[in-house]
Amino acid sequence: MLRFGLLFAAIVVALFAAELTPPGQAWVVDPWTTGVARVATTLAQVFDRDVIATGPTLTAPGTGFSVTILAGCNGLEAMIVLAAAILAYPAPWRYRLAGLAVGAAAIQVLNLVRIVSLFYLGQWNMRVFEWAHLYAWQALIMLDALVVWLLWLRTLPRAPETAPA
Amino acid sequence: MAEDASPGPRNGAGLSGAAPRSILGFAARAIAWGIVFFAAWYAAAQPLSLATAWCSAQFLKVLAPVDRAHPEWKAPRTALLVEFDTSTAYQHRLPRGIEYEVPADALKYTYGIPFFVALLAASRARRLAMKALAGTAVLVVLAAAGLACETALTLGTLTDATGSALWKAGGATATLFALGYQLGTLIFPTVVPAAMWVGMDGASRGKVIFSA
Repeated sequence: MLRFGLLFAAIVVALFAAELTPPGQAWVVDPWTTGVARVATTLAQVFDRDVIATGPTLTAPGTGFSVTILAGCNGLEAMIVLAAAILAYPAPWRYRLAGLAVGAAAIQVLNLVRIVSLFYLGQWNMRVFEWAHLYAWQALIMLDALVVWLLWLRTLPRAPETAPA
Repeated sequence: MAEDASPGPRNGAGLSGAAPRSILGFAARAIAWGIVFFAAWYAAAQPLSLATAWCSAQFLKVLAPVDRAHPEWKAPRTALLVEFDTSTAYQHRLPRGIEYEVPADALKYTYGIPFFVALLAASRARRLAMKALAGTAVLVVLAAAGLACETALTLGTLTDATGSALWKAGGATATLFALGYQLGTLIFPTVVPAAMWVGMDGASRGKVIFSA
């Protein structure tokens, strides 16, 4: 467990540091955020055709309420944490790659639900919006990552037991 | 067919296999307990925020040229009342005897506490109260460190009558404050509770998880 903990911490720090560098921002964070914003606006317009999408900003014409999808709203941080947990755990590479792909999808789907729900919560009640935005959804996204990791663990082949001498 | 209730690596199943009920049940219980503990955390916002801000004030005295700092409740948030240390190298710029009020929203750093306790309750951890207290203490200290970094950054934006900064951290230190602020709001309240839960719940879940 100590090895896992140290490796997990090292990978988290390395990936977060890489994310914060100018190349990391330019090549990964910015394009990813733009992509998430595009999908979120498309999704919101499925529910309500009147929603106006201007780049990464969603606006409800009736209320004038807008949300802008910024770097911290793209689910990358949760993906980094899940990736670190999967990579730090001793497992065959094909299981790791499958876990990374399924885990990324699970986090991004929930993140889209988060963005669209916040858009409508904000139009209903700003206090509830702030509560959900700052506290509740942060914990739910991390719970999602934790559950995906636990499910991924269950898919792993059991380590061969040592035969008695 | 009975399902293996213990989470952890097992034989043969692929990613397309059915999701184990035990883990999804754990997630459902975590959400249910989360509602209870988030409500309790919000109800205890004042004492918890004051305690976190007090710890933060102690960090701030080490991190910045601050002589005195103490928290005060300014509903619905805390504020730190800060007096600069005029005996430092910055004494020619720092005003004497003036107390600055800096907003210090401890809640955005401490939401990991109800999340952590909800995880413990959802996994029916043994000695839950003791683990919850220990985890809360760790999370409050980490939250205080993050809050101190944000407050130090805010102090760096204070200016005198001529518009000059009273005090500003150097390049590397400012970067560390920014990193501490990011960690304090994004990582400590989310990753640390999950990591502590995995570590603390070792008597039951952890042994299975880390048997590989």
